[in-house]
Amino acid sequence: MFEKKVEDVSSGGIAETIVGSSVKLKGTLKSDGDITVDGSVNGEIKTKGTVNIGPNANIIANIKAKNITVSGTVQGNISADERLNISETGRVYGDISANIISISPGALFTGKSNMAEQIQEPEIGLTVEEGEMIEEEVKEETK
Amino acid sequence: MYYYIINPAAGGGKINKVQENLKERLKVLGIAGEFAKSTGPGDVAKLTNLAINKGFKTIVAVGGDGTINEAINAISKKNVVLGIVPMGNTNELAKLLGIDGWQNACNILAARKVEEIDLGKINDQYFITSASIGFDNVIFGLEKYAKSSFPANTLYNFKIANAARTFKPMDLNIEFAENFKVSTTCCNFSIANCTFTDYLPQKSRPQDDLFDAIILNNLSFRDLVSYGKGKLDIRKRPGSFSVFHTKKVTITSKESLPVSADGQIVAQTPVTIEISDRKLKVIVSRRRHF
Repeated sequence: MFEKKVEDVSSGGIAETIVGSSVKLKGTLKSDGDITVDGSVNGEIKTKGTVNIGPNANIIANIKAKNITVSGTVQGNISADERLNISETGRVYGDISANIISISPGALFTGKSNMAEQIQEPEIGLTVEEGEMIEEEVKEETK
Repeated sequence: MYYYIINPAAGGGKINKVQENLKERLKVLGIAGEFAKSTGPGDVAKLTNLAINKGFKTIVAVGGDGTINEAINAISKKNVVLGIVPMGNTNELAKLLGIDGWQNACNILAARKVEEIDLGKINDQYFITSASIGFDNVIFGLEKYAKSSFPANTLYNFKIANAARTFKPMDLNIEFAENFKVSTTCCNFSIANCTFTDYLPQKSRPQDDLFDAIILNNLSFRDLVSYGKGKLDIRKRPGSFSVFHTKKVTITSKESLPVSADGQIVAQTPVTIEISDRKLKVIVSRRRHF
């Protein structure tokens, strides 16, 4: 009843570059602004802005952008400087990397994932303070 | 001193009713000059060259988009300033420059704010606003019927509906200078040097050395009619259009198709459309749309 919505990472408004559903594009699509794809792209997509891949889009390309949302099909590696969202209709066949990765239930992802900035793993075992406390407790028992 | 080239046929002879008032107004503003009348197609370019040879540095085209486009093509090769007094059925160029009506145009000419703007180039033809292939050209052909109010607009609406019914989508291959190619079946392809409508997602400015390339999908009959009437907000149809930014495109099609520039048919496909190295100096209003 209540569908979880994928967080929209678009910058709002209409994208600067739009590949409509009737278009088949071959080559490198480069932009400084946002890119929306509803058609087909075979090649490469690069932008300093946001890339939105629509539900009917079919991409055979590597994608590099600041933020990326995939609701269509992508065959290629995806690299987002900040956030990557794969929505419930998204299908990704390739490796993905981003600071934040969100994959909705129903999405399909085949490949390796990499968080560019790894979160520091907590140290295994006790903290120094806790360790000291235990040590004191043990000393008291032996007295 | 200004050299005025008047097209007496523009706007169904509109100029003939206001000619004396126009001259009087220009005199009052201190910008009266030499006047010449064109007599047919190609004459505006000849008169422009004549004026340049006489040493005039400002040439004012009095007419519609066709008249102005002819003047642009003669002027763009020389270091001369263009002024505009809109007097045609279609005055998109004047609108872009913020010029509305001949009285307003006289004041703008007197204020003489000159801007340098990009010129588009198709083969050896120059243009300011846009170039189109497809349904836009059908609309240009029907603009003489365009009226804003009922019942005068009925004939135009009927003709647009009829054109939309018989219009066949085009298969285009478009090669962009920015290292990508596009193939599409669409109803319209336009190259815009500036934003001149509020229903297309354009961002281009005539001073940014870039065009917007806009592809409209094969629209439904109903949407095509709305588009023809200028009432379809394409932005509300996600996926139904494409927008790219480019300096140069080469368009090929299965069948040879007419290509318009500034509302005039100037070429046939295959065609290359590019930003020209030359700029045009033009007198603009402070309320211009760029």
